[in-house]
Amino acid sequence: MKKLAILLATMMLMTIAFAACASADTAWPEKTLELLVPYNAGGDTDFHARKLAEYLEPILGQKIIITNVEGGSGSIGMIDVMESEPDGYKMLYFHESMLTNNVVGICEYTHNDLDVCAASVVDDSYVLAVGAQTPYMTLDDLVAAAKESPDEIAFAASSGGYSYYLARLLEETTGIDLNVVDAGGTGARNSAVISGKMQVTAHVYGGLKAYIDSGDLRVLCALGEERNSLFPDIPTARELGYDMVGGRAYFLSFPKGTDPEIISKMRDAIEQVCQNEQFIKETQEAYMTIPSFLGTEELKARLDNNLAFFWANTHLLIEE
Amino acid sequence: MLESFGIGLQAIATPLGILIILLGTIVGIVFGAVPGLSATTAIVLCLPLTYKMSSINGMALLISLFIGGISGGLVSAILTRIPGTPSSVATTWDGYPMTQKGEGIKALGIGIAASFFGTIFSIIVLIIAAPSLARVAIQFGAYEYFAVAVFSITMMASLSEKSMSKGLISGLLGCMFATVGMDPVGSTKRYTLGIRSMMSGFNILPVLVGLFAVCEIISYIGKARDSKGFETVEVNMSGVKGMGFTLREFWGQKWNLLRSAVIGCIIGILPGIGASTSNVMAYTVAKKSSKHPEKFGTGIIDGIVASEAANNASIGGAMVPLLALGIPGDSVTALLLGGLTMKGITAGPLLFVQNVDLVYSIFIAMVIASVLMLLIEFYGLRVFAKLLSLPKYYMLPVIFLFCIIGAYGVHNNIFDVWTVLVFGAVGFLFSKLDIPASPFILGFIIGPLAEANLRRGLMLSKGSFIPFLQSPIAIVFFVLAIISVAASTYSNYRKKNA
Amino acid sequence: MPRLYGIVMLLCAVVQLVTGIRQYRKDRKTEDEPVDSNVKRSRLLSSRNVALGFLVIFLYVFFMKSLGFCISSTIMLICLSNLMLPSTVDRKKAQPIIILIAIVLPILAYLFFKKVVFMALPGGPFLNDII
Repeated sequence: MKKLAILLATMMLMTIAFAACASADTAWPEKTLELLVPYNAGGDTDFHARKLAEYLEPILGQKIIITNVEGGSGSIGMIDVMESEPDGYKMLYFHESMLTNNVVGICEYTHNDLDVCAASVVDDSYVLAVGAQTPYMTLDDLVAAAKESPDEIAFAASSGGYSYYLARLLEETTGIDLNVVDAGGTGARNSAVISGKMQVTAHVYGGLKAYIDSGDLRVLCALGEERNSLFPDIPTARELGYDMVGGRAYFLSFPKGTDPEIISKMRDAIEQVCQNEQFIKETQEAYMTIPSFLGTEELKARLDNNLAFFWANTHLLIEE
Repeated sequence: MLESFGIGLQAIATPLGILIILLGTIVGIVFGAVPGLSATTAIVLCLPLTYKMSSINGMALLISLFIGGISGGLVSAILTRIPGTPSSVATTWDGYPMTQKGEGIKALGIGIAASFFGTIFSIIVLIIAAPSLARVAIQFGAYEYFAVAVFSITMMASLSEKSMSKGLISGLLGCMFATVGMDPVGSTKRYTLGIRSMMSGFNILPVLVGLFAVCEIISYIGKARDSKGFETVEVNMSGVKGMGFTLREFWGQKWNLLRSAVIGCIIGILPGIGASTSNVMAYTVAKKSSKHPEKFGTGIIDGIVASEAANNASIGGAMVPLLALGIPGDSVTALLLGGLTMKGITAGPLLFVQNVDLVYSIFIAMVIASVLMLLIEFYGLRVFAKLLSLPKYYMLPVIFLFCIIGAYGVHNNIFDVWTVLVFGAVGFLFSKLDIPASPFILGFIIGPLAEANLRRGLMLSKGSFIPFLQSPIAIVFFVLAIISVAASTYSNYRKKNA
Repeated sequence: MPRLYGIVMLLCAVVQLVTGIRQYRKDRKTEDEPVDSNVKRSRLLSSRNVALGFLVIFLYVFFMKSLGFCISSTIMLICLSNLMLPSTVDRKKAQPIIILIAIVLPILAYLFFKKVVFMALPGGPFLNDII
């Protein structure tokens, strides 16, 4: 009798233990989560983060607050999360500038120092645009003109930023020499081209739409792999014969050492959000870009790839 | 156009809308008045709130915060010599002396009136000429900005006539401290000492707080033991009616008002410079064009009028490129732009056409906010005075507390609080060595502007200085700079040999 | 290029420093006051207070993260207010009010900033989980 009692008690204890373990994994999140955006409120990263959080809340059943920690082109916020407890309650929302920061020398850490989870947006809506007063009607025109007068045509970029990379990529792919100039922030770059002080720039379609519609800018080509369904009239660089592609993934990460169960649960949640029609619609409206989901493995592969590419081509990122 | 106003009015003149503007203005004034908290801080904190509101109400909130915030800075600037926001630095120069003379209420009153005038003036300019002005504004490229920066530097140098060299040291130190952080052109780290947080350099707000507030506190501690009269800020309330100044005094300022508002507008319109610069510029110009320049700094209303009219005029100015072209004029409008984008509204040349209701409701909200600001501050005058009649040993530490909150709030990082301490020490040193702190702030703001644009310009011209002198706009400013230097050297010479 | 710029600025700064020092020396020479012992003693105490003031602020910032905003602010407010008390005011009488303000205000501020505008000031060891 005693033996049976002990056996029963042990079995009960074991069942409880198992149950506790199981629920510990899937019980997350049990309190409010914090999503850190390494830029100020109002920007594109902030927007995508907030939209994601808004749609994640009902799925995860907990509130998500957004904190903005600006500085160092995003590296300060990134390191803040890196050094946080990997308990699954503090996350980072950043994009591939994480990689360029590393190559350019701003930050010694990469995505490998975090546990990346998933991407909610892969923005491939980059386009190449010229001022309306310039005589270049097609990409070929621009290339031809650049070949005739090397280092003359000015490309408005931001040093160490994605626009700079695209400028150099353009130069390399087409074999031309442009005068790539730092023109300041987005607003200043756009002003420079609209006013005619500089001739070319590259940005996400959404960022230039206002000026395209008003006729101040002329888009030469899109830099996606295929034509973008939101602006299908614009040919891709590839179609025009130039193998040039740009795109930036915005993704969520946890500090290194986070429980894989948590990462997996979040990944699934993000995937769900990316399939939500309302989410897609709102993202599209604001930034003219369609959310595209990248799971943990695919994201990691992409980041590894891109990081290696950037390191192999530092001349595309750094002024020499 | 009248029709558009009708549309705008309908959109904003709802009970909720008015309430939002009222609250926004009040909160803005409070944030502006407390050193360490500023209009930018208020907007950053309230931006997420706007996501849940309609775009019109959201923008109305942000713009009222802006107007209240910039204006509110004069309160502490005048009453405690600590500028509530960087845009009221020049207000301290004549505001505080007036308080010391017992004319604090008058100073507040005329400052408020000037703020109101500046705001309304710039709103009118905004409404009438935004698109065309914006097109002119973007003609300012690297060469032109560099010229403007050079001009500003010469103005700043002429401000400290007590000792030109001390003023220059102060200004240069400001420039040097501003270089800490990442190179604006290219991404090399400068003077970051391997400390991560140093990468974004020092933020103007903690620097301002440290330089002015901490310094004020420490000096007060030094004086406190022997002070009886220092205990409270003497504000003579008796015999003060209305705003504290007469209509005649106000009318006597009409040219000053107009000129300063124009300066404020222009500087506001130029993306990249705003209220923090315009208040000093207007003050300097007012001083130079005045019949009694030596009185500036002793406590005359001219200085306050110039500073406050200009900084508020910069608000309307900054809205010009934002609404007309979708290009932010300063950090606040950059946040406003973010707010618009969140709502799916593309700010750009077509905003006036596609979102008439939004644009005109913003105009109307601005007007309402300005009027409310006037009323709130007018009625608040006596409250402010009462608050400040509390003993300084209660007030100053509490003010300091809020300064720290504001400093921390810049980046949610303790580094900015350390910045306050560091610059507090710097400020204390300055006061002991009789080095003026204000040129430092100017150098801090203008220095990076000058350097970044010099380098960008050289990049564009591929190392040649000639294009700098080929731009008509740039030439204008270079000439103005030369005139300014010549004029002050001449007057200095005359003074020495008088 | 930045280096060149830095050097130029440094040179300017040195030149200005020299002229500044010269000016300073000139001004100093004209200063002369007979100082009596009472004033001297008071001045010494004031200087001591100034140094203490700096120390208080330094410690305040240093401990803000570990002790949290509320606790460190309370300590700071009490210290600074006391340092600022003129000799005419009764020290003992003023304490209760100082302490009251010092405790209540930081808590109010902390709550306001956390709840209303979602700006979290450093919580310190306990506050983070309570509120």
